[in-house]
Amino acid sequence: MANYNHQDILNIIYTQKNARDLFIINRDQFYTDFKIENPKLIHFLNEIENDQLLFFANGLTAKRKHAVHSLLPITAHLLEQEFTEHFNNFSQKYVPKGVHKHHDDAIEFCLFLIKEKKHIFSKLQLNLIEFEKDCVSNFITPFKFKFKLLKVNPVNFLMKLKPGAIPSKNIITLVLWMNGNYKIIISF
Amino acid sequence: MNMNFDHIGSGIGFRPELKSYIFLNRDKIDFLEIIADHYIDVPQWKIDELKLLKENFILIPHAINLSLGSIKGIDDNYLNKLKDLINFINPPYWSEHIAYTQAHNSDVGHLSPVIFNNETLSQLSENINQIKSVIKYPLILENITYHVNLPGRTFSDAEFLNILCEKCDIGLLLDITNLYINSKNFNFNPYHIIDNLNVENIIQLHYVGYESHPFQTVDTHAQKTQNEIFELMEYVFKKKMPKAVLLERDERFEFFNEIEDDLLRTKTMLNQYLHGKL
Repeated sequence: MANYNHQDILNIIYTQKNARDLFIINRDQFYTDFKIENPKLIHFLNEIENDQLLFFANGLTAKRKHAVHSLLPITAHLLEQEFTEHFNNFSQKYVPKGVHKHHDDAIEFCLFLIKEKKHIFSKLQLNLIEFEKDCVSNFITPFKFKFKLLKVNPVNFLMKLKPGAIPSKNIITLVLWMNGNYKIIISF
Repeated sequence: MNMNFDHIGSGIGFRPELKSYIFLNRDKIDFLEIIADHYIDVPQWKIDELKLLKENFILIPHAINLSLGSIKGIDDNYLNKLKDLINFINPPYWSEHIAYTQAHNSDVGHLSPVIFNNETLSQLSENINQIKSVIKYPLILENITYHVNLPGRTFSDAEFLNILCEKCDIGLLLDITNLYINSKNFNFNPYHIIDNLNVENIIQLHYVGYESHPFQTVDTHAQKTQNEIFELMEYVFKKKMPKAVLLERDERFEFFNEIEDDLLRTKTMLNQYLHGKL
């Protein structure tokens, strides 16, 4: 018998879509798959209402998505309407934790896009996603000194281009992070 | 629980997007609540920001990640960092939530409801005692929204909050918007809860507007505060004046007029009731 308490199981149901779907469709199979045999725990789980569970779980994903969307404005612009689909896909594979869980989530989402979805982006766009990932990383673990050469100016992109527009000019940009405080961007 | 300090007044939750507004409207803001987690393990510029806020306002730390309701207990590492932060701020009190955020070796990602029964009371009591042995400042706890009404409860909301406060010698941060939202989603009378609360435990209020969806009312912290919430606030004031009342706005910061209206209405009501009682 798996040594779960009710909070462990709720956490799985709240955060893992496949487990949640199984719980809603076939609770007996769920108990078998997760080796839940404690009658008291099964009785407790049997009384949870599906609509309430779904509302809460979907709300958790929506809150995660909203926080990451705010931390990654450029990536959000690049993905536009597809942001939700890609984030929902990503969120089933990764559960962040800790004080900086939203930052952690944003970094992992960038890595997910760079590694698993690179075919949908141009090289310039991937360059921008990496830049945003570094900006968020810099908040959690401030770089004493770090520079990065980009082929596009992210500030121009944010300020001048409309949401969803693809950067068309290669503007070599040097980004510097110093003492973790701020970044200096020089374009030429 | 030593809560022998003057009324603090009307405040707002500090968010970086509101920084300019807050400093330009200092006469309308008696105190700030800061999210403790936003100042733990952060770069120096965030510490500098905290110092600036501390120099200009009374600060109340509001923690969100202690996971007081966790069966697995408290994360000592996080607790010690929180202690250092609170000691640095030196607030009249600090706050957390009646919830858990961690289980199964990971974060749920949000404040999750606990079951209102004796087992939970014992778990909360054990965790709170551990915290109080480390953080010496008075603690108040907030009621959350619970979109899942977990089975197994043996206490009403009011009973649970009363017993918890008495058992653990803590105060209550009554979020009247959360109370209202729960009452809409689970069809009970919020005034009945307030009538059954030991109002002496109420130290602070939280409020903000709610959002109505087809099947649920939700706490997006993004709306102008509705009349129903102010009516609940006034109902509390008639029973007990809290030490502090805080607008907890997290979204749509560009609508300064909404924020200003909420703060003004609260401050006016606070002054009216405080002067009436003094």
